[in-house]
Amino acid sequence: MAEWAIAVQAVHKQFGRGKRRVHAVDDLTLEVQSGQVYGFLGPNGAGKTTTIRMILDLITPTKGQVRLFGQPVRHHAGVLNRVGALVEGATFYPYLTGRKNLEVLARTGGYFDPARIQSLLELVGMADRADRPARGYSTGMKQRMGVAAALLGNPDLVILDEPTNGLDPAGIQDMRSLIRRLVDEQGKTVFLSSHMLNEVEQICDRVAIINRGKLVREGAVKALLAEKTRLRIEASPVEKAMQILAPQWTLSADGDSSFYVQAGREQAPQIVERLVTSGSQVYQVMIQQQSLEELFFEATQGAN
Amino acid sequence: MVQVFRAEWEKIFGNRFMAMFLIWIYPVGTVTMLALTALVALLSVEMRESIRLAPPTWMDQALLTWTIVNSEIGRLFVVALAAQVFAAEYHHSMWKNLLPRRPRLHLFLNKFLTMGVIVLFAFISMSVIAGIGSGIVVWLAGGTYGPVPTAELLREFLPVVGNELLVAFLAALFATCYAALACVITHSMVMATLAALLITIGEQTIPIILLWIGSLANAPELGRLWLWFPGYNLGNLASWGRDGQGYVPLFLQGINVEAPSALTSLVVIIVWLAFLIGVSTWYFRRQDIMN
Repeated sequence: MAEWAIAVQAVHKQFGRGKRRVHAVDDLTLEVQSGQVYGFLGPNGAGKTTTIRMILDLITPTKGQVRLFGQPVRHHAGVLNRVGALVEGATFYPYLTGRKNLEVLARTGGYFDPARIQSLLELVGMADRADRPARGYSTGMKQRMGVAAALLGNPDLVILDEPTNGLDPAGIQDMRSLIRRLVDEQGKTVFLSSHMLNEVEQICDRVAIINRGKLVREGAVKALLAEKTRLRIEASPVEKAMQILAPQWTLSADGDSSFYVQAGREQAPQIVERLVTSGSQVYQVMIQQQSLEELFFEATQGAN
Repeated sequence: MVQVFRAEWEKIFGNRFMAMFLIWIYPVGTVTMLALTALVALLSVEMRESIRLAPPTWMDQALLTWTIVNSEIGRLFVVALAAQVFAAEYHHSMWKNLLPRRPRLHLFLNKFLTMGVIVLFAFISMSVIAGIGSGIVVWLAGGTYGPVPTAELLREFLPVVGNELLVAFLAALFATCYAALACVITHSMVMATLAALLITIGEQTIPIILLWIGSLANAPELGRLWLWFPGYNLGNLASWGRDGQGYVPLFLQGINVEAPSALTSLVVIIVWLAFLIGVSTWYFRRQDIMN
């Protein structure tokens, strides 16, 4: 049986009281299997960071509980030693150098090892700038150091909240490949919260989308995207072809020579046959999946 | 635990500006004062003459430092340092990086431990520097620095200085507790410093308040409550070490009150410290870390 790296069980978080009461997270249940990249998506204020903070025992759920690797996370309980995290923008002691910051964090965790710190600095491309005070770091440099800090204790579960914020395109690409390597080569689990939907689509195995504190979609990326495939058909004459299919399928026009049919791959031969037998000329049939971006907007705007 | 202590130490001393003004000021300030005195002694015949005629003893000099650190101004530096130590994590949004690595209780109590060690380091170094440095000043002035530290003299002196050290340390711990509590509530260095100072100074007004309420209620014995407060017990403990007897505050001398023993005062102080550390730790453990 697969081990759940994260199990968020009917968690609810409420801030404030009376008229000022805000339900940041509302009856959220999530299960993240070990050894995968799990994307956690949602618009601003959806409750992503609150959920991450509850996973890390930084804030207490009003109801429900969070378990990591089968153990409840409340009051640390030792299981957080298996977790490394970058939460809501990397922060450091500005007066210490980047290296010293990592040393302080490593000592706090009880896994101080100068060689590991050096190798992590090299991994995130900060080795040559590690001995400068952190106050002079750009956002991108801080993010790189934040990822190094998250990996200090060689954790089994890495939680990254917007890790590519402030990174240049090359940095984003490096981060993407690093995240995949952590899972594919080192067997870690990565829980990734990001606004970069294209990035999530490329590297995540599963995603959860939350909106207003509630889970609105969850599943394997491939399966979610395959849920809504459509066929783009280039045929002539277009009007006639659309008339033939209209009674059975939902259609939408796409320029003068093609149109979309809301149908899956398995229906393509039937549609083509229908068109050909009725005298239409079919030039091209393309199967199109919806993008994660489309899925995200559908899920979050639909809920709104 | 050694590693966590080391991490806290590096954070505190890594902030050079803070370390200079709130920690190094004790030994460096003492060295500076002594250097200035030595310079004046070298330049002024009258000064040399006065030192030669009435040279201070090393015992007086070593004890003088404790008077300074036990003063309200001396306490100010401890409060400010404690506020920096406890509020730094809120100020730099560092709790989110630290808490997943170690239980809250460990991290919070470690701050008290580190503060205690730093305060001891600062106070003891100041006392030792004052004792030795004054000897150099007296020597420069051509005087005799005494008395010779015989075993018998040390046997008498060490308990006295030890008691002063204990009182100073406990007072510093109270200041740290007030600052810690204010920090976990306000998350602000400035607010924590102000709040801790207000509590430290405000405690001295409690006898007046008790007297006032006592006179209104026609119950002067209400003043006895002051004997259960940290401020009185610190003073009583110091009095036992310095004079070999406790003290009864002037406003309580009209009613039949006896000064508690040194041990009683020590127990009261420990209970208060345990309560204050417990409250701030309890509050911190339940706190949501939002930044």
